[in-house]
Amino acid sequence: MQPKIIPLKHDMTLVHLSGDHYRTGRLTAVMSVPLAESTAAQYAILPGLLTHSSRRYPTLAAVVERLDELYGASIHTAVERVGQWQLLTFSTGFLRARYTFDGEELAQDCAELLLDMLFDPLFEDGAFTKTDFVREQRCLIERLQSEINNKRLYARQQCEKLLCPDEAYSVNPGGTLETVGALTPSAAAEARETLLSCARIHWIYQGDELPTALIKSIEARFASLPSRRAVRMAPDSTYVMKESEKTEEMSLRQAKLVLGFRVAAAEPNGAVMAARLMNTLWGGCPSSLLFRHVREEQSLCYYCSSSYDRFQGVILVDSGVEAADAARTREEVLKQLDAIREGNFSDDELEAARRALIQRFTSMNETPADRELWTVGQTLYDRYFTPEQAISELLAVTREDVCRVAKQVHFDSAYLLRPITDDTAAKE
Amino acid sequence: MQAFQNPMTKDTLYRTTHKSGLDIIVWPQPKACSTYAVFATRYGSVHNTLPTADGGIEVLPEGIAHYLEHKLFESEEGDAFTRFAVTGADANAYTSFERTAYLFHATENILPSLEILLDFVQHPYFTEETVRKEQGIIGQEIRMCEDDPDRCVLFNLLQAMYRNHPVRIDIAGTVESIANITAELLYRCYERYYNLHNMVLVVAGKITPDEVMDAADRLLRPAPPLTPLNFAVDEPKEVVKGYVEEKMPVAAPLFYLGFKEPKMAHNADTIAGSRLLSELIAGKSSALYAQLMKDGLINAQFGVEYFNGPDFGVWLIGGESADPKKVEDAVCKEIRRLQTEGIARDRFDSLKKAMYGQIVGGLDDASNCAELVLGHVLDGIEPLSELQALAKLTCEDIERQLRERIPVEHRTLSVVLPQAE
Repeated sequence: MQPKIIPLKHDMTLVHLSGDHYRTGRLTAVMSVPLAESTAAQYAILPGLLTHSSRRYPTLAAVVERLDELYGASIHTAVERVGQWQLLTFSTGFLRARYTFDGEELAQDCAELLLDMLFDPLFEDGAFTKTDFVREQRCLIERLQSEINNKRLYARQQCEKLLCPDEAYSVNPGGTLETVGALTPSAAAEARETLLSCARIHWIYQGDELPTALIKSIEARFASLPSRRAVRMAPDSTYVMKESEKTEEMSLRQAKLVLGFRVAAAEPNGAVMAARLMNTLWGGCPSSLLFRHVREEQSLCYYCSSSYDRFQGVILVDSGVEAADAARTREEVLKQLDAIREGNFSDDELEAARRALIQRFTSMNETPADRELWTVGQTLYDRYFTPEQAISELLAVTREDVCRVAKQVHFDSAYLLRPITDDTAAKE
Repeated sequence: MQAFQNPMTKDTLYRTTHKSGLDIIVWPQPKACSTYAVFATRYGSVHNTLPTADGGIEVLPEGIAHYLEHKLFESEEGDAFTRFAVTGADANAYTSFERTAYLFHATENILPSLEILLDFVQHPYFTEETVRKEQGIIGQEIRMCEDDPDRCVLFNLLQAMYRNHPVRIDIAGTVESIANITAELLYRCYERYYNLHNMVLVVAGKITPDEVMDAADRLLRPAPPLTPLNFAVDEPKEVVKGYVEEKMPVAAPLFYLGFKEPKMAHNADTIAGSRLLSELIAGKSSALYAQLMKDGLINAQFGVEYFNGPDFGVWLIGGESADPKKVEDAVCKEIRRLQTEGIARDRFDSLKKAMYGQIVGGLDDASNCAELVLGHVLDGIEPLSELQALAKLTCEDIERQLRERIPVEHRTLSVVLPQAE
């Protein structure tokens, strides 16, 4: 069903997704700001600070007890990078009235709880309390430090830094140890004010009917901000090839190989759907060329997959391999890209990739959380489409379109994280 | 099929034992956007033996259930992924301690996908060559797991907790153990554990019971009667070691604190109780969570869960901490306090309501529906009876479970420490 787009006061938008068969409803605020090294940390700390207490519910235990009363309603936050934007999402999920014991409507109560968190935080002397701030600062620092624990993710991050060293895209949306460490309770309070005053804000509501009372509540809260005006930014789509190579060693059992590619197809106007299909054919599903040739035929790895970031025009191919097999794997990955460029793939392979993508699109109607995920990226360009509309566009992509976009995929950088070799160990 | 109405979720589920021996449950949801089907056998990594003709026991190579899962996707004509690629279904499989499950998630071509699922799981095809080829792929999966500190901290814990129970064995096995797997051995495991009397099919989503039964009638081959598998392990109630550690490239110490549940028969009350007790002891609204956060001993990684399988049950509390031993002390102190002082009634009531909401709230997703029902069936309870049991649980029931099921003295702390620079 087509989303209903409702302009709100104070330069905001509400996206209403109806659907009466779901057991749960959901309200989400999507706040987008340009991703920058200088501001990432101050915004990244806010979701924790704002949702773990409020003036009315001054401790996390009090917040959770309130959520328990509301049938285990959830408050979920995320800090993400989407292209060159830093997205902060604040969501609440709740049971629909027909599943509560006494037919209670929970949407408004949950919305008020969320709005309280955003607009009535627990402050002392105009700043976040020292206790709350110290806790959230520590948690954010520890989260950043622990990124190294997941070696696959770590390797991907290193490859992104090689690909886009001077671009906003390579900024960690969680900030850095230094920038988070330099934050103060008052700086975080100021960042909250700036966020609410300047971020692009889209509300996504999934419930039974158009929530007029809820719209009034949202608009009333934002009326307290003196001059709210959402930031505008045109993403920079130019890039210079870096052609970087980097190898690091760590105490590991398996090497992680990540190959970074630039593709001249990105939102909002590029040949995005052709690139999505090409990526799925290359390494985005179990019938893909990389799965079949690198894993199944050559038994080089357990995983070898490609992922396309349509907001930045970046494709990463990553694989966990024996260090000795890294060069062979790389060769095979590039060989399969050449095969697509030259049209050396069967119609069956192409249609299998298309069907996998159709399945992925249609399953985005599965739950309110899935529908939210589908919609969040669309708020960046205010271009809304349903999974069904995306499928129509996908069905129109031809074999020639796929070959054409594959020719616009340029291998740029390679990163290898490999086990410490005997030579290195001996030197140490 | 017999219909069961669930007043709490307002759904009707259908269940039958098919003439082939297979237990089939269908949860029709006409307005759902997709269908999830899972075809599972009661065969996981803990089933590490085969009976021999002379009444003895043959010990199997570690990781063989998982290996069999990989190989079952292959047939003489090609692999099942290729067949699913034609229907567009998203297919997968997993092996856990107590089960191996094959599944698909589809928004269209549901019946052809169901037919593929029922067909390929019933038609094993292994040759020495294809079995050998898989060693490279699974070997890399094992290497990947060896680099995963979260997984290492868990399996180190289980090895330190259990002396004899095969839950202490890594599900994927080792590179060395899988080298001993042969096609002949896979066939023998298949014959023993993939008998339809030992298996369950759950389908949830936009499908009708008649459609499932029609496919079952056409595709399921009657299985010979099977003597129910008697799984019992001579396992002491004490843990092997109270503390275990390993060093890996991590930023801060990771830990799991495990409490070894005494042997017990599970029912819907204990299953509902497990969920509630976990939250009560160390959930985000608990006094313990607030104190540990305040003391800077835990962060957002902290969590609590309970998991069980044939003849074992473990309470797990874990996360990241600069001082896991202090966390251990605080957790034990809090459990003892709750066991002695009991639970505040208002907190119990509010947690019950929250647990109900969280279970029902998860049912928008067809995969959650099917996996919840599969879990209930494998636990030996009626599908969704956990919800009714939760509604009937009293504060006294939970206090009794808390005393009987969590022996503070039978615990292990497993830690992964950062390597020196």
